[in-house]
Amino acid sequence: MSDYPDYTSLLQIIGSDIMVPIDLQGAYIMMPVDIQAQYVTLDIDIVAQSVGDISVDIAAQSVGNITISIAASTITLQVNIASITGGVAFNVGTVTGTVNVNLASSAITLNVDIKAQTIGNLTIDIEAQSVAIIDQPNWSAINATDKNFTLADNDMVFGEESYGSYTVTTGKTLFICGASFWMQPGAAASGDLPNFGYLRLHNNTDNINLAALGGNGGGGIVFSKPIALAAGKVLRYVIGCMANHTCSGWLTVWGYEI
Amino acid sequence: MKAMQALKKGKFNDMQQEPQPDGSVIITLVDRVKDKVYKLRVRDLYGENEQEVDIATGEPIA
Repeated sequence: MSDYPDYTSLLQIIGSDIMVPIDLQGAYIMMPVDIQAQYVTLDIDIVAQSVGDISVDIAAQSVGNITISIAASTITLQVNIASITGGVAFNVGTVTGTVNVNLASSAITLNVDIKAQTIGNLTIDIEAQSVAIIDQPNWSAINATDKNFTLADNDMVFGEESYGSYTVTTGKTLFICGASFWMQPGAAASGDLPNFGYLRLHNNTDNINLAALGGNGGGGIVFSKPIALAAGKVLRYVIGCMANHTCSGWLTVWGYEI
Repeated sequence: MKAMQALKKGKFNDMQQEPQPDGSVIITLVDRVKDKVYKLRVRDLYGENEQEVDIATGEPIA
């Protein structure tokens, strides 16, 4: 059996269907294995008090699933993924731990969902060519969750009020960011007269005035703090004519509902 | 009917109301998510006797 002067042996098996159970027990074993095949099923179960290094180098056009389950008191895991396209899902559940992620790519979409009882320090260092931070009202307009209300009434006379209503959607809160109105004379002969009017925002459910504004010909106001109206509450937006001639009145209220 | 559903479920971004002489109101709703425009006419909006009526005549819908 000795093929080499140092008493090592060469084992060469050629066949279409081969099963070779191997049980090696020794103080020191060196067994390089080189497998070249179209299909290989390789089960490896390592039980040891300590394992030095395990290097796995996979080069393939496609890799199906690689499932790795590691249970240990301490783990150092370094993962380096270089890919043009692909998805990588990490699910890390630990009491304490440090996860270092280094992503280098021309385009990355990174979704991070952190649910924790307490978060100590969260340091974010963003180096990018462009970063946009959008406040909620603007984001609502982009995201199409904004709400805008207009009211139009012709032939308003002195002392007349006209109003529109909106009931806040169930499960949502309406935030009113601003309002404006415009009074237009109904006839050319009134064009050089004052066109006094006003707007009111009213919580009709609780009978509370939320905001009021008057002016000659119109006016507008942007609230530094949005006015919140809970689900089910009825917003009534009112425009009033205080001109001594017929006017057309327009009222606009804008905000968002989330 | 879709317009009333959009109104009740808040599925719109812009709402314009035009009060009518008979007390009803013509409502135009714009849903920018679906790029749709709804129009309806309602009596006693959000009231106990709220009723959608014919948008042209203001009469109850048969």
